[in-house]
Amino acid sequence: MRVLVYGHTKVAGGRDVRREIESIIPEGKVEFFSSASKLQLGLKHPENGFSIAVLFCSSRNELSKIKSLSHLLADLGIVLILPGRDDDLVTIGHSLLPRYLTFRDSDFGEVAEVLRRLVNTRKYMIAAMAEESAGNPALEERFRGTAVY
Amino acid sequence: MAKVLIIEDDFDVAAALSDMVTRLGHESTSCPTIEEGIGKTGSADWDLVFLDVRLPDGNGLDSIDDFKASASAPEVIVMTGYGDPDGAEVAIRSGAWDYLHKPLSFSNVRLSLKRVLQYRENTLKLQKQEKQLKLEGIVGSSRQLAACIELVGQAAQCEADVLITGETGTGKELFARAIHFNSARARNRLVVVDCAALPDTLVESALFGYERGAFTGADRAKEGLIKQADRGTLFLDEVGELSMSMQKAFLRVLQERSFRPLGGSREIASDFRLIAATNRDLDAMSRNGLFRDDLLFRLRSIAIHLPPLRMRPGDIVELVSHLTEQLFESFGITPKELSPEFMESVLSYTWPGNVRELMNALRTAISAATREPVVFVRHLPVNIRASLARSRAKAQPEDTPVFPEMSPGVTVSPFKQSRETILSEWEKKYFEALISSTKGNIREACRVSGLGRTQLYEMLKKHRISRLGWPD
Ligand SMILES: Nc1ncnc2c1ncn2[C@@H]1O[C@H](COP(=O)(O)OP(=O)(O)OP(=O)(O)O)[C@@H](O)[C@H]1O
Ligand SMILES: [Mg+2]
Repeated sequence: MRVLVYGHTKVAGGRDVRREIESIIPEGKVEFFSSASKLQLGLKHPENGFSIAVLFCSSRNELSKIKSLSHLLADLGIVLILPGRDDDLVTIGHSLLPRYLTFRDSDFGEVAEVLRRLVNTRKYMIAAMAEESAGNPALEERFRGTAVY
Repeated sequence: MAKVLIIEDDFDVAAALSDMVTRLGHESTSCPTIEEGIGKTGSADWDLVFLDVRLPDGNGLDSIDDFKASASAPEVIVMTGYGDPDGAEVAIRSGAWDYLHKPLSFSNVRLSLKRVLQYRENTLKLQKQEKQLKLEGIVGSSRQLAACIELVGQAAQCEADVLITGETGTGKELFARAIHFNSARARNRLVVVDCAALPDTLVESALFGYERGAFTGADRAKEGLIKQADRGTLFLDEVGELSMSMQKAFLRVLQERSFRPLGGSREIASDFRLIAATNRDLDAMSRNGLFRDDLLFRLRSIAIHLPPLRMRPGDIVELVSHLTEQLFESFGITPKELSPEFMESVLSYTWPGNVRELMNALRTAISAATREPVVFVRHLPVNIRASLARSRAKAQPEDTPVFPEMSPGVTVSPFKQSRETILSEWEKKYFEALISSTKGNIREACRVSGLGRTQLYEMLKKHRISRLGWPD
């Protein structure tokens, strides 16, 4: 599982998002990208399954660049931060089918909380899959039937 | 009006039947022999054939397949003589849609004709629908997947709430997308709500939105996801994670199609279509008091259950070929061969993470094999190889091997044969379970499996599964 974070650090919100993420995920476990083209290269990495991307778009232009990468983002859990609340931005935002969508002027504590849960769910799922393929029925039960948390 | 072909050598019976068919508003033609009847199938679009058993040029039952194989694929109703108690069973086993005992009564003919034509109309409509569905990204043509796709077609045509269940990675989101993009709402938004990713407090504000000052930190109003899905589709993912209090709140939204934002004073309407998904067993949760049964009942207006990948070996083969092709292209490398052992491993692994895990494994394998012309088992992720090794060790020596023709010196039997063996074993288990769960009720078994009567009987015949002993 990888955690990819996209956002310009030159922009105020971009720095805040990074700080929030760094506060919950250990150093070295997050990959930061400051341009869409670097992110594009990063997404071609073979170990993309179960990965998560936090995408901070500070402008309309950035959002369209991200949108053009949607084929590479298809199976990632996306947390998307939009540059504004206009209807058309929200429509583009939802077309990426994010697990969580918010705006650049919102509380990033929420983003961190959602990210923590996404990471936990995926970690749990990977562990459960490994256990299941190792033939451990107890976990299989838990995997299918009861709470993740 | 339907076109009916009557194959009957007794002139009086043929004339009487023809008269009944005409009185029911359909068109009929009679022939006294099989040969003449088959000759006629080339020249017109027949919907139905009434077929006698004892005919001058042979047994009618032996010609059922020939009639059905003709261009318009008509259904066949067999007319059996009295005093032939096994005739009906034999007729159905031979692929007839139904049977009638002679002498024919008008009411029986009418009922049978009505049923078969209704069935025919439905299947034709579904076939047309399926052809028109845009199924971007969905790979696989197993019977089970086809049954799910059929439901996508039905769901796309209406506004009913849909519940998609299945293990992780079976394609619940993919199918939710297919329903939305084939529905009348396709031009509007598809809005995802991930109930597992949102803490309880956030679920509420995310779904309903809030007014300014609704709580500390709400320094400006925020539109909720329910409103953002207005005129579109709301995809409530991991719905099993909703708390009891949110279930109650959401049920109310479903009933009223309106809601009140946090801190708001008026109700806001939203015209959304709901698709929910989960990998949990909601029935069990509801029995244990963890999921409201009234909500479950509503969500399940249309239920689609995506079967695990290990139950669909045919789909594994198709997915592997599709995904590897895609990977070769995206890595910009010339296509590589997959070793037979590689395919054997992929087919015998259990894939607890289903298609997502398969995609991952193939990606890992192909990138590990970039410098080699052939992809081998050793290129698969280590946890998969370990699991395979464990289950092989367990299976030997007293268990029947998955690949029965394997002799000690040879590692692998031919691909097609291995696949056939696995498929056939799986089919047998499936149909035994089907017949037992439907208590031998053929109509119900057809509905559950999505198979036609003929196909179902073929399978029962092939695997010698009896439905006798189960009351009808
Ligand atoms: N029949 C299929 N053909 C092609 N790709 C598929 C198929 N089924 C699933 N996939 C792919 O597998 C991946 C996982 O699918 P999806 O996200 O829809 O699964 P899910 O059931 O929602 O899983 P989860 O419960 O973990 O959320 C996606 O990349 C999806 O495109
Ligand atoms: Mg999903």
